[in-house]
Amino acid sequence: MKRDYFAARRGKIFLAALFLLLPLPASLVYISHGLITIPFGEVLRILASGFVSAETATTQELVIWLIRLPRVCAGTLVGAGLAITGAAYQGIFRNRLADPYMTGVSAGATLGCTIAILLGFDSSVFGLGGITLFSFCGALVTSLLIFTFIAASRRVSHTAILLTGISINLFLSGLVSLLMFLNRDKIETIVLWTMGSLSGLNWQKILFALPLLCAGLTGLFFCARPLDYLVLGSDIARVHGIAVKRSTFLIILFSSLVTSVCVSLSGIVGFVGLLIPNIVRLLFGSRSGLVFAFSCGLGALFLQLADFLARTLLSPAELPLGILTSIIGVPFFIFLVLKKTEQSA
Amino acid sequence: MNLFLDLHDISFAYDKKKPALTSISLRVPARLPRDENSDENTNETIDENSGTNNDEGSGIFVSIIGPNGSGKTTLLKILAGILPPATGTALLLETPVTRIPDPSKILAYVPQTLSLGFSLSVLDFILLGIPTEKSLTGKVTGQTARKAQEALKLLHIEDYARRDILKLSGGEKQKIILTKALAQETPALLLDEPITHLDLAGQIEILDLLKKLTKKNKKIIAIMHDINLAARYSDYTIMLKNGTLFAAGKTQHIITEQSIQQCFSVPVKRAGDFFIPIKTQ
Repeated sequence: MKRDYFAARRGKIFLAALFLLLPLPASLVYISHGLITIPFGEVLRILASGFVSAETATTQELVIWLIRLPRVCAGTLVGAGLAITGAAYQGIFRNRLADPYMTGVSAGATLGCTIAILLGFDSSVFGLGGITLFSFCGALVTSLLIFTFIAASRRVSHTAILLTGISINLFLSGLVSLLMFLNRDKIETIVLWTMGSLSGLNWQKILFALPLLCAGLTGLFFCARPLDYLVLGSDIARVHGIAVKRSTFLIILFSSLVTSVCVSLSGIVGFVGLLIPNIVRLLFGSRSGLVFAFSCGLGALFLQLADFLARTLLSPAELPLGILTSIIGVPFFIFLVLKKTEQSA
Repeated sequence: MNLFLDLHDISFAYDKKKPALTSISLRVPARLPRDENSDENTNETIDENSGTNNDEGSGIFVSIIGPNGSGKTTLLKILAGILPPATGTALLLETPVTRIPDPSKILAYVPQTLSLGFSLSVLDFILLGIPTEKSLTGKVTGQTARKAQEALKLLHIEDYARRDILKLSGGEKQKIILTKALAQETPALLLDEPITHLDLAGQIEILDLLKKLTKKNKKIIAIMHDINLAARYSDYTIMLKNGTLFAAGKTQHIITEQSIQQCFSVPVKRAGDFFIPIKTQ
């Protein structure tokens, strides 16, 4: 049995590494397909030859370099980011229904973005910095608020999480709507944000987001071990020498960073953070390091696929990505709630 | 002299209105010197220890008893370094547990139950208790695995290894939490009602095991609800009432008809080795 267990674990680590690499070949598929289909060989040739300038480029080169590649990249980043933060929030809330969307953290980030846009931050590097910073503050304040509230109530029941999350979500969305109502001239940008979409991305945004996201993800991976103990409750974590408050705060900090970067890239894309880690836990167990790794890979794959569907299902029209993930996510969410009730009954 | 517990003027309050513990001072030796009055399990202990060194190799089994809300769990959490006492100092095996960064080398703590948000395999859970395991993905060496295996064997539950903790019953879960604590191989073991959810056979099995471990130098402190089991198994008893120390000392001196009546407000009568509640009318 022992040998089986370790073979299985080594297998899992290997598989996790594979999952982290899978989005790479998958993106080729999404780059080649769409309104116009470009053969794989051609895609590889165009990617290999690099982008020279917009004047000399062919249509195919333009489509790949300026439209599809940034979009697929962003999808990969956002998918990985949302899934891993979902896993992290579920860990510290010790509840599998928690994720950046359900807890209202995404809404907090959106409120931050909205305020930043209304203050006149644009897509210059300075503007992007401003938007991300506001979004980060929104996410951080929201998650600290929820965590304090739930920690104060001492028992983390599903109901408490759901009610707190939903009320904060509604409250913050209300504030966003109010801001939209008061600033009707900028309403279109913000509406797109609240529905979640990967259209209209440029390299500048992605290159700005990339280091921040990597920092957040790395931080979370380093918190995997303390998180394994925090999941067992703060008493046991303390006895095992985990600095409970510091670790929790760091996880909240990194999760907020990742969430806010994702939101500033794509707006609110719900249910990825809920769906992916739960599937990962069902398939591969609950060790945080592995859950994080699998979530990153699977989240990226999922969002790549979802975005591909969003831009091809009603082609040439485009579905907002957030609506699509909600349609996939809600039935699964209900399944989780029912499953839990069954167990506790 | 070696002390297991050394408490000086411990107080604690969860909220300002009502203190949970007030000014508890207490010293418990790391092992009990055997005196002539001790008639408890005399034959058995002498037989088992005659080959080994009787005094050197023995630990102690301390039980904490008292009515509900008397501060038993709070005291245990202070001893485990989970709650910092509001006043006073608490030493466990001469170590200030609340102030050291990693108490898991000295003590293992067994809560009453475990509320988990999601599935975790029994083996994964037990491996979390073994301190040599340190890596991002949770790489495990053969030795840590052997320790987990041995701990499972102690409780005869090797077949639990692959099961999901969420799907275990209360009693099974309690055994698993204890297994993890045993796998930690710490000198001290702190248990919060370790047998509450178990059936009679399970209760006896666990207590016999714990008793056996004290002979291998393990220092055990357990909150007990069953006074008869506490009287039968523990060497030393701490009796709490309303957050204060009611009595503490060798079990046979502490658990008496009179003290139970005063501490629990229930009149009892001794019948052989057992205390039986009696009706007053």
